[in-house]
Amino acid sequence: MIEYQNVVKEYQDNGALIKAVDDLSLQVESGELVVLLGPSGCGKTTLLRLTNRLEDLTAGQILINGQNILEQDEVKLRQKIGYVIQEIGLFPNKTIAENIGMVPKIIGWSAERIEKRVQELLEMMNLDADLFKDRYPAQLSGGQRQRVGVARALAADPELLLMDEPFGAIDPINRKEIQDQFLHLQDKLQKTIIFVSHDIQEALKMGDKIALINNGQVVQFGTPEEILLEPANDFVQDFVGTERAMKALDLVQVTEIMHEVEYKYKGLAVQDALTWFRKKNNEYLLICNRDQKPLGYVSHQDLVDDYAAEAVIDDYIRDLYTVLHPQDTLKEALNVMVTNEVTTLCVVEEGALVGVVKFADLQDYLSKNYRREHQELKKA
Amino acid sequence: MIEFLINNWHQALVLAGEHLFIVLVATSLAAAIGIPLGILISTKEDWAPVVINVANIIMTIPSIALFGIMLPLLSIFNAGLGTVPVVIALILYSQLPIIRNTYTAIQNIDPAVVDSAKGIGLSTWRRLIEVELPLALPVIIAGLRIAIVMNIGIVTIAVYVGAGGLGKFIQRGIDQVYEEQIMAGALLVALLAIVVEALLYGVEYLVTPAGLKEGQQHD
Repeated sequence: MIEYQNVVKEYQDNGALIKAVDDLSLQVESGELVVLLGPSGCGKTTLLRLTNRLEDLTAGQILINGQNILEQDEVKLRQKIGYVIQEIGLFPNKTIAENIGMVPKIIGWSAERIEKRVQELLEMMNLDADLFKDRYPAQLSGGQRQRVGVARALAADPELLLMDEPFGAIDPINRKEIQDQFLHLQDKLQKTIIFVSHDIQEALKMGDKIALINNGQVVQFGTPEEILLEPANDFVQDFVGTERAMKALDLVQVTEIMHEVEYKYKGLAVQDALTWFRKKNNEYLLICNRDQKPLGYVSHQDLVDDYAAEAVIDDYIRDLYTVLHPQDTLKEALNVMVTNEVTTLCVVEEGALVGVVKFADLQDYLSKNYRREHQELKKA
Repeated sequence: MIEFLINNWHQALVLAGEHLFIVLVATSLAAAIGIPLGILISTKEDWAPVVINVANIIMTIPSIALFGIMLPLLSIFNAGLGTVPVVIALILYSQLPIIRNTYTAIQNIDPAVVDSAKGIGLSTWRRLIEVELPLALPVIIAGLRIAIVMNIGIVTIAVYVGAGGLGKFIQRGIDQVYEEQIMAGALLVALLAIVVEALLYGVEYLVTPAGLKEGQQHD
């Protein structure tokens, strides 16, 4: 756990006194990824650099697991804290393996242990260890370099990780990939992470919590949903921007609005299907095989148009072109519906049907949030 | 001139050896002072302009004048003439290229590399040994190369305060109005400078960290 208690950082700039961090208090729980979000010059990077003593506190204190950072040797303190910056800063004269193994070497790990750790970390970062470990940073692409930067920060298995816009210099396609990969990794590692960003989308995606910072103070501290849907004041509202309801689509997974659906197994007689359609007053029926794998759907109209009394419905099944997965967001669901011109999508987990999401469900969700946003605007 | 060299090749070798010896001893001592000084001012920014300006001023003193100034001072220790004043002069002249190159090389290291080195927990010493010096070394060697080539020239003049070296050919040639000897001396000094410079270019390439050499860049 990290506690910032009434932290102040002042410095002189051409005779003017600047308060970069102004009596800021914040508590970050262990295993939590907290994004420090704010406009440039708001003090978020300074706060990060105060944490590993790259900057000196003017007043207040910072405790890591209850221990005051000023009571520890600054070099030893930093060795226990991972540090990643946007410019990465790999050592150009050292190989990838030497870069990653630097801190373990300094704190006295054996060569064998370091080699094993380097191997493990490169694999964790989806980089082929044999291919990359003897290369130099200049031989890697930006995305690969940043993965090595993260690996170097994790090398000595620190509890705490400080990341200053780590994915800011990577092109959008690679950025999404490396963000996803990092979130996946964090699920397993459960590090305490302080992550500086100026990008609201990135903050919403990465953060367990977001601390929105302005003029050296925390304006609002809460989960992404809270920041998005219950902004504390005009600054937060402006920073988050318009279309908050739309942005919220990106945060919510389809499992939250999906519901169960009735389906039949293949081999069903057409007669039975027609009975079902009559009773339920439905237009479509979902067909699965015996292990709940969705095969497709049958349209009532097809059965009526091409009626054959003795037939089974297997011949009438239409393909499901696409399905959703539980971790997909509402935004992705909406996108799939619009591009494929469908209004119902199956959610499939490991091949088996777990539910469906209908366009109407998305509509409900949106209008609920839109009403909320609208009411707040009227109040203001 | 060729005839002169063929007849005096043994002496030419001895003088060239003497010449090189003075230069190498003086430059080594100069490096032992200048490199640490360059490192020091790269960490204490305020001192940098003062130190570099002093080195600059020393550089502007003509060598003959410098020998003249040192003569009465060193005479107190009975060393006004000979190798001692030459070595001292060379050490003083070498400071500018050595200090300036060391300072600039360390200053020019990517700030992100220094910041991340600090941030992951490298002490000042560690940073210097593992990262900053290896990256700065080619530029530091370039400074030494400039100093050595310059010193080869200065030693030639130092023959007038009684130091040895290839300047002797030139001095004697002038005294005896023996043109071939003057030209032979001049040629040998130039040759020495070119050979030493080429060798040091090789050293510069060898100390360039593998990760920085050309042809390794991605994209």
